[in-house]
Amino acid sequence: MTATGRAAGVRARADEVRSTVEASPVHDERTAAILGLALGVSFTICFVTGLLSHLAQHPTSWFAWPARPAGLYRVTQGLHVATGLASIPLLLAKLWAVFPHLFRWPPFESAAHLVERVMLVPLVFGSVFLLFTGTANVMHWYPWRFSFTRSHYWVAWMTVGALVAHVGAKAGTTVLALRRRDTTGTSAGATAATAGDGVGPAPSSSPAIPSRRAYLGWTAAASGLVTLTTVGQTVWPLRSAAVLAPRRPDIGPQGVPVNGVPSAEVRAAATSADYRFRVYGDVEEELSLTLEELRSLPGHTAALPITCVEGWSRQATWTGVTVSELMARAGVPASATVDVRVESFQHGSAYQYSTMSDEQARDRDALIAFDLGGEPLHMDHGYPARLIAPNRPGVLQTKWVEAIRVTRR
Amino acid sequence: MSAGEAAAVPDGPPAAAEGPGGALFWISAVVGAAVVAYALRELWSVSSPVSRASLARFLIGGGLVHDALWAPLVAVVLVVTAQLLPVRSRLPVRVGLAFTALVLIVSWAQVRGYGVRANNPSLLPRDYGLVVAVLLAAIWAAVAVALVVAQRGGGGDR
Repeated sequence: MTATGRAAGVRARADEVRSTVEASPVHDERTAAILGLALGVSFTICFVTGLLSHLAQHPTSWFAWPARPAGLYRVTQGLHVATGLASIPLLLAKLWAVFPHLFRWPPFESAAHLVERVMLVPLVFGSVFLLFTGTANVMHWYPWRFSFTRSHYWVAWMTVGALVAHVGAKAGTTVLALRRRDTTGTSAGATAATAGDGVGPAPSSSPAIPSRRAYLGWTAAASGLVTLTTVGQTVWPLRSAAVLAPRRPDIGPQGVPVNGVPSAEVRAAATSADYRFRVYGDVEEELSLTLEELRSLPGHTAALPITCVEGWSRQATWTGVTVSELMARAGVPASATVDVRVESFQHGSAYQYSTMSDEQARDRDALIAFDLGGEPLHMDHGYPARLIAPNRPGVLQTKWVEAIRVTRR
Repeated sequence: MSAGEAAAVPDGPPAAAEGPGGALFWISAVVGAAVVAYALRELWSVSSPVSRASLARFLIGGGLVHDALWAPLVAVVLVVTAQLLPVRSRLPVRVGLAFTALVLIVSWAQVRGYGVRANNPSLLPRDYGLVVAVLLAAIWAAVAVALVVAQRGGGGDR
């Protein structure tokens, strides 16, 4: 075949593809509406759970993150990461379904239409940004020079703002598209449509063109595949299937994964013979305890999950001294309302301090732990002592603890 | 006629033909635009000049990569598969390619080992190259089965 003939062949195939795209139910309003609804649900769950995680880490005067139930953050943050990952195929399928609209001419037909299309820019760009940075973050891959947490947070707000505008623009269209009889969901339906009055979305009768039902089914299967191969990092029974997850919940020192490891300075301070655990602040009597003295206090054992903001979690058995016991020994009345700051050897780090509300600090299972699974904490888990308390993000379960400071309100 | 049938709207002109408008649209647009503007202002205020440039690169670049590279690439794949494959083979192969792309997108950082830390073996603990190879083998085995079924279903028409 000559070059001219080959070019003609490619042009013919391109024309065939264009007509396929125009005729395919993959690109009609009903498909876009269904995918939009699915994406709206997953993004809403992802946004709300992300917002809860933000509020848990940055308490405000109007929202107090509760100490119970103990596994609440495990559920919300597991959902945050799982819905984010599951949204990747959903978003790709949705963008492909509406991609031909990018080239519509004229580009807008009214002021309202222009506004609608302009608001798609932050929606699409924000969505791609959130899914890319979120996925890279759970893999500990940072190919950028901005703060992940702050940027992810504010781009999420930007995307949600654009989503609100999009929902307002598409609510009527979506309802109509979903209420319209589905005559192209299957090949049989497509054939029936062809044989009917011929009005409405073009049929999908070629074996090369997926029906709407098939396209949506493959999209759901893709989301399911991503979920199945990653969610086991927090859903224990699925841990063996989590082959694409960045963590496996039973791999790590003492069978528990680790996020941050100690620097040489932290390691030296934590293993020093001069180590003292202090309780100070608004107390009757400051405490300064050696590790042996700390371990000799009345102990308490609790089964609590350690839950990372990156979506993995692991239930474990921790032994230590309750924060309440330590405060009582320092002369803090049980009736006092306090804030507690837990202080780490990670001087100068964002993780040097974490704070606990009165409710969190006085919880029966809020521990300064020194044992994990009946053995002294591994250095990577915070030896010689760490905070472990119910319903806290892992970044607030401060490791390599040297002191707690009590402040009475 | 059942209630369900009565509620159904018969096939007709595209619902979007009327275009956006109305109170719901404008209220949503104003509220949404206000939230977008506030978020962009906060993004600007919490960023240094260096991080702003990086942020802009990823925020704008991600969308452009999709619209200018990824989606056109999908269209090219449709053309090429239409050029090279019999009609009945195209859909299984295209689905196989889509799943292959998805697995590579989701696993890219792990396979490349971008987040690996020598002092933290619990992070990225698997042989992700092997995992991806097995997943892709399973996907293409399923495609092969689908191709056999499709061929038995009726000819290799082009």
